[in-house]
This record gives sequence, C-alpha cells and structure tokens, in this order.
Amino acid sequence: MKKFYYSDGKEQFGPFTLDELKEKGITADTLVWYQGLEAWMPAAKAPYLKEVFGFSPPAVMNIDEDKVAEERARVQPPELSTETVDSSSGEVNYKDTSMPRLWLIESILVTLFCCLPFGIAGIIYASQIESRYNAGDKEGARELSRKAGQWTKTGFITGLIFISVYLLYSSYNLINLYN
Amino acid sequence: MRNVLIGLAVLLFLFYAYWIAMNDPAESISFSCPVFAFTGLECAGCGSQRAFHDLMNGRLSDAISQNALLFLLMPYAVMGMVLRFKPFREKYEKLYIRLFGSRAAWILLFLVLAWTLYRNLYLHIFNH
Repeated sequence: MKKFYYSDGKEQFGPFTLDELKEKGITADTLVWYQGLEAWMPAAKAPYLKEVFGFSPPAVMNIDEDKVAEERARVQPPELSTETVDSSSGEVNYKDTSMPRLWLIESILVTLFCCLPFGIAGIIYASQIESRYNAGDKEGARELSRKAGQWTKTGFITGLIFISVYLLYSSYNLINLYN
Repeated sequence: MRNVLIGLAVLLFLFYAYWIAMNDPAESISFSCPVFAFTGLECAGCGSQRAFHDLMNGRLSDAISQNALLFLLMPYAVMGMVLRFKPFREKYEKLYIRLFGSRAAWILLFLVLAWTLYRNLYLHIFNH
C-alpha cells in the first residue's frame, strides 16, 4: 500500500493511506511526496495523485512557479535512494541543509592518479565552499560543490578513457608480437 | 549490479597488483600518467606505480623515495573514505569537517603545487 505525505511548507504530515489523504483537503499546489517520487511536488504535478484528485490543467497553470521553487527549497526533498525511506517505520529522512560535499578526497585522488589540472581545479573549488557556506550563501556553496564534482568526474572519466586506450594499444602490440 | 561492479573492480585491482608486483614499471610497458605523457612534466602523483612495485616487493624506503607525497596523502585519503562510512560519520563528524574541510583544501593545494615544483625544478634541473 502506498504511503503518502503532504506538507504545508514547514512541516510534513503522514504517512497516510490514499483514503486518509483525500480527507486532508489537498489542493493542486499542496506539496506531496510518496515513495517513487523524486522530490516534493505540488499534488497537481505528482503523476499518481494528479489523476486521483482529478486536478485539471488550469489548476496547474495557476501555480506560481517561483513560490513552488521557494517552498521546495525550504522543504528539502527526500533523497532518491531507497535507504532514506525506512519502509518498516515509514519514516522519511530529508536531505539535510548541511554543507554540500567538498569532493576533496576525490579531487586528491584525481590529482595524484590521473589528471593534475582537473584535480587542482576541484581542490580550488573545495577550498571556497566552506567560507561561502558559512557566509550564508548556501546556493553559492552548492554551486561550487557542483563544479568541484564536475571537475573530479571529468578527471575520473579522462583517466578511464586513458587506461582503456592504453589497454587497447598494448593488446594490439601483444597480438602483433605473437603473430 | 552494484556488487558486481565492486567485485569486478576488486578483481581488476588484484590482477593489477599481481602484475605490478611482477613487472617493474620503470622497465616494462606500463601506464604513463596522462600529464607526463602530454607534457613530460612529473606531476604530483608520478612514481606511484614504481612506488607500488617497490612496496609489493617489500622495499619500503625505495617506495617512499619514488614519491614521498603519496605516503602522506594515501593514508589521509583512506582515512577520509573510512570516516565517510555511516557508523563513523556521525561519531567523528567534527574531526571529518576539520580534516577534510576548506582549510585542508588550501593546505593540500599548497602541498601539491609545492611538491610538483620541487620535483620538477629541484630534483631534475639542479640535480642533473
């Protein structure tokens, strides 16, 4: 049985069964979440509830996108992975608003074992995240974290490509050797 | 799926470890790091395979002399990865933030750049 949660933007309520949820006065832009949904979203946009509640397109049009984005930022959506929803207790853990990850260890590994420039770029971003976060610019910190992540991933993929090309090249040489 | 990938990675690593123990990368065909391949400069991680080869053959001091920074940063990285595991994450959160925060990033940046300059300038130009 699917469990549903809804939120007034500050607190979450639930879990409810679908029948219980129907009595809660859910409107088109009430934020809802159920397992299988990536993030909190207005009921009118949630694939399953949209049909159940019969929200019509005009209701969707009425949603103030900025307001929804704002509310969504305030109510952090649960993480994607299944481990965030404890199915036995139905407890939902929210993505914390704590500092975004620095990618520091990954950057170091990329620096040492693959591509120094990419790793250094990652470290430089990592070095700015904390102060940015502590200054209250959480969005900026998250952006820096995203960039740091991009550089380390680029480095990682470059390393993989380099090793694959190398392996192909050396096996080509080996085959020639034995022929 | 995830377990299969991890298993595959472990197998590959074991194979690689065996191979590197048997073959000296300084003499046999081996990966060169991309930075060295393109620029001819020794980056901060160069020598890691030679070091690994020495280590696998029980020559610790040789291994350290191949790349000293590696022996400082590898335990650090491993520690960071261990501290990230769930049972440790909450218990040692303050330690983690202190050791793997932005200040650490600055220090690491300095270390890596200084080491790169040192090994390319001092070790190669002044010593040869």
